[in-house]
Amino acid sequence: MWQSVLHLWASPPADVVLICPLPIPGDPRDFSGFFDRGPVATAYQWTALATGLLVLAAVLACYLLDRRSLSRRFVWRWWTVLGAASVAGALVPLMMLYLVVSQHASAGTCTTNVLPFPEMFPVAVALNRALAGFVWSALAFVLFSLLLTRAAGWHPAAGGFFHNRGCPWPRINPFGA
Amino acid sequence: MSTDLIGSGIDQRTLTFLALGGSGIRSIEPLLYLCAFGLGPRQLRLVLIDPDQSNAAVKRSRELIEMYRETRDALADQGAAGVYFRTEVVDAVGSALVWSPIADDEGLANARFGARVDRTLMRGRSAALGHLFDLLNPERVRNMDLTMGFRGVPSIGTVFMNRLRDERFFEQLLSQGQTEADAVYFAVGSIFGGTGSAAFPVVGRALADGIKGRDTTSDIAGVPPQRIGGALFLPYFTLPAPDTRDAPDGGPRPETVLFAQNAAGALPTYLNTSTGYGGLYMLGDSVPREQHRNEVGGERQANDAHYIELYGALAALDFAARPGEDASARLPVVRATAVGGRDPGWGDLPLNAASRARLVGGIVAAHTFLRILRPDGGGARDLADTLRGVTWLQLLRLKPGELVERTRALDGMGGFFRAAWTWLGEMRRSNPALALVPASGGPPSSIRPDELIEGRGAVADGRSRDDESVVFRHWNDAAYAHRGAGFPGFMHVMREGSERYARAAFSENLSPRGSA
Repeated sequence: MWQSVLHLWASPPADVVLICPLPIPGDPRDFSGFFDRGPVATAYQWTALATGLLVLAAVLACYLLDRRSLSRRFVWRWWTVLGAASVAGALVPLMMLYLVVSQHASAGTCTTNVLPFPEMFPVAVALNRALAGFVWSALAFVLFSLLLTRAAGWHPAAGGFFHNRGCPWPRINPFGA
Repeated sequence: MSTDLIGSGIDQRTLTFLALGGSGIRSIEPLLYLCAFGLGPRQLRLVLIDPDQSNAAVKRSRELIEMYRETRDALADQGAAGVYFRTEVVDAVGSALVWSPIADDEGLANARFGARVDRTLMRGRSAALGHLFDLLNPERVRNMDLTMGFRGVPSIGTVFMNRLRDERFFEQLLSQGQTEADAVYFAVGSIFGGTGSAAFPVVGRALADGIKGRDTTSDIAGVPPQRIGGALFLPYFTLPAPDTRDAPDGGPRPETVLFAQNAAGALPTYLNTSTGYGGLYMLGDSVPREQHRNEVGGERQANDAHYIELYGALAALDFAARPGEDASARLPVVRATAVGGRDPGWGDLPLNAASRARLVGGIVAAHTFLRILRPDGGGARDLADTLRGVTWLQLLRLKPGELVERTRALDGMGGFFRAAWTWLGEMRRSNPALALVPASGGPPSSIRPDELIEGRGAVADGRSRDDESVVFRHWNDAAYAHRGAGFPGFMHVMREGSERYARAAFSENLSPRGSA
């Protein structure tokens, strides 16, 4: 349940297959290696946390760093930040899987190399998580915006959440007056 | 001099404003704008005195008074007339609005001066009187058409002005003076022209003396002099050389060369003798402006607005704010205020900081109103869409459609604010200019909120470029204190929010010159 909330359809995979190293000439090839579950799960957890923080920061920046009140201009700003947060949300898993948490084979799953050798995480799986991150970020941005404008937007001390409490609801159409 | 129009209790008082002649009547326009911005008394009773009922100043004042009343009525219907447009404007004269000292003779076809004083009857035993009349009044004066005004000959006007004491409305004014202990009376007119110069001493004396009872009526006591004030305009304009020496009726034209002489001759009367006034405000400009035209009465006598007229209105409000003079003071108390430089600006307005904030806030409110709710004074398309989700509207528990439905009130305010904007533009273009708002004839939408007040220089000093959504931010803060207040709350939000913006954006304009 929580995994679905955090990762949508791209929950941390249990066994990500990798292509084992070529064997010594004459030995049979081994196709059935797997990535170590630990670093994969860690990368996914950090992805969820980082994406959540990033979207929250984007919502805060969108509302609190604006010195105006609700207008068409702010609605455009909201959509722009939403778009930027979504793109960033898609980049976070790629960054986690390729740059932050190094991925390697699970020890002993490859007969051709029983050591936990480093290996490039499969692009297809990473892109799937990136797409989920894109959608997750957009949804979270809308949700955080609604929650914060409703929860904090009733008092002037809430700054931009107070002054722009009408966005995203009832003011969501950037092409309106 | 720094008038307090906020905390002085003026909003509980009645001011009877007697506008004497063209210059006095022109002071009504700024007075109405000040009232619309919430700087006026509780009630303003207007008495316009002019024999020339067709002149442009009278026509303009009539239109504005009507517009003000309609707007206030529409707001009152919504329970929202206690903020802007709080002053009830009452026509003391009656439906005619203007009292003409020659109105009693309107049945007479001949409007010439000689005919109106029955010169033809000054024969036989009255022949000596006729000779004296002729001696004092040359033929071109005797033949003046009085419906075109007194044209710089106050001695003619004085003959008719005393009819004021016979008027029913004047009796009522005096009676009201007995029942309303702090009601004040204030007359404004020029000291160098015709009607104002003729009416000013008569009005002061008549107010102070009251009316002597006749056979069937009892005396009506006069108003204590400390509650009677007046503003005298010293020569503040000149007239260009006319095309013809005489007016179209063969009578004289006002002569510029006599303005200063007339003023100098009349001033000692007010300073050294009792004319009924407890407080006198002398208003003038060291460089009188030449008018564009030299017209004698009628609609063509349409002169540009002059800042002195605003000062006349401010003098009346200052007098009402005191209220009147100290009864123990040596009367009359004479006041003057200095203007720095050639073109006066915010620093020269004799208002305290709170009153300035109210005025600047009022201009911000009017400007915002004219950018969003009634763009440039016209109808607003998509207003409901524009205001959807706006915080101040939500806090007031007003739906955009509900605000839009207040068409009459919004149209009235839009029209009145547009008139104020036009007037401010005239003042800015005038010579000397009154530099309050950089409105040089363009629509309100052409000026950003941060550029609205003269003397700020927003772009030059690197400050922000604002739009109305920045002003709305301050309206939101104000709306928090008026949650659920509906349309009446909207008026409070507009005023308080605009004043908050004024304080934030134009703080340097809120202090009188020298105190900043």
